[in-house]
Amino acid sequence: MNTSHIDPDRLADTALGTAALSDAESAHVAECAECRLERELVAAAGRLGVAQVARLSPTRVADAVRHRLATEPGPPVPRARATWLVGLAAAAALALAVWYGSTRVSAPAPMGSAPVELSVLHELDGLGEPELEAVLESIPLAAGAVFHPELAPLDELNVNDLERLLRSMEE
Amino acid sequence: MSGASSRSDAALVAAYRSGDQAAAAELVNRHCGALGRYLYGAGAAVSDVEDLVQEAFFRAFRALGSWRGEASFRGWLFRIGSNLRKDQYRKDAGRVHLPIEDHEVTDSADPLGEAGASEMEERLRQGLVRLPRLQREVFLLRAQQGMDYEEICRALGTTPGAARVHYHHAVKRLKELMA
Repeated sequence: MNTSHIDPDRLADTALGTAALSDAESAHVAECAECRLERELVAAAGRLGVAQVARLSPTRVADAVRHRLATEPGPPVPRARATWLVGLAAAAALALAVWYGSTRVSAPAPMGSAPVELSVLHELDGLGEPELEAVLESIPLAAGAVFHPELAPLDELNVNDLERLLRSMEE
Repeated sequence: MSGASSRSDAALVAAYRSGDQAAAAELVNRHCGALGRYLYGAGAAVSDVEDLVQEAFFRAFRALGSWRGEASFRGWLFRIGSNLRKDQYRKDAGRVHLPIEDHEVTDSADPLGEAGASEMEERLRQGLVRLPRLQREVFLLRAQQGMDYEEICRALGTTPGAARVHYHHAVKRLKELMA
């Protein structure tokens, strides 16, 4: 018996029918129990499960899959995509806040206070203009949210803003 | 669905994405049996095969948007099936289904030959379930499904060289188990 066995991939190809054994290989397989067993293994693998899945109905599977695709909710948004959406939403909110702040420079308010402005202003509804100005002057700007009147167009600043701007330039 | 059977998997996937439901049915019809045989060979019980096949197709179609076509549809589908079988194996705490009803012998004009083939197949299946998962899956994709190593490595997320090594180890081990 030739001790040089046939390459397993070659045996697989011949067992699968994608290649044919040469005469020499056929002679080797006839003599070599190991190569014969290996070839039978691949052949058996090719038959494995044929009888057991014969009852499997592609039509039934296709109908069930179609029904599930139509009735079951889609998968949750992948985390990466969700993070991207949250980031986009945050950027949009920030842009909106900046835009909103730039349109409100004549009535300066701490940055970031826009979302709660309605509830605060309701409490101030009963105050007159001098009182409102006094309150405004007394409110310290929120930490990290310094109002910079010098960044606003001059024609949109009121007297108080202009005075604060001049004072800041003198300091 | 005339002519669907002559279309490639990629063409059927494209047609399904465009709303052609018949294309999906054709893909199921084309790969259903092979996937079922693969799952059975990987140790799934006969009674579980249809559910696993259905689940694999369901997940595949639902996730078609993420399929970029790097792997063949068949390889991608088998990868989903392989992961499903792996999950089931874990849930079953490693139990392998080798029920007595699996030893079926179909009607045949050559009953003795059929019985012999069935015995060989059953011994092979029992040997397969004793292999490490990757060795088993590579062997099945190569020897049962006739895939080449390029397709196998894309299906299993490995390299052609590693797939070849797994195959050779699987054959060696199976021969030892069945000798």
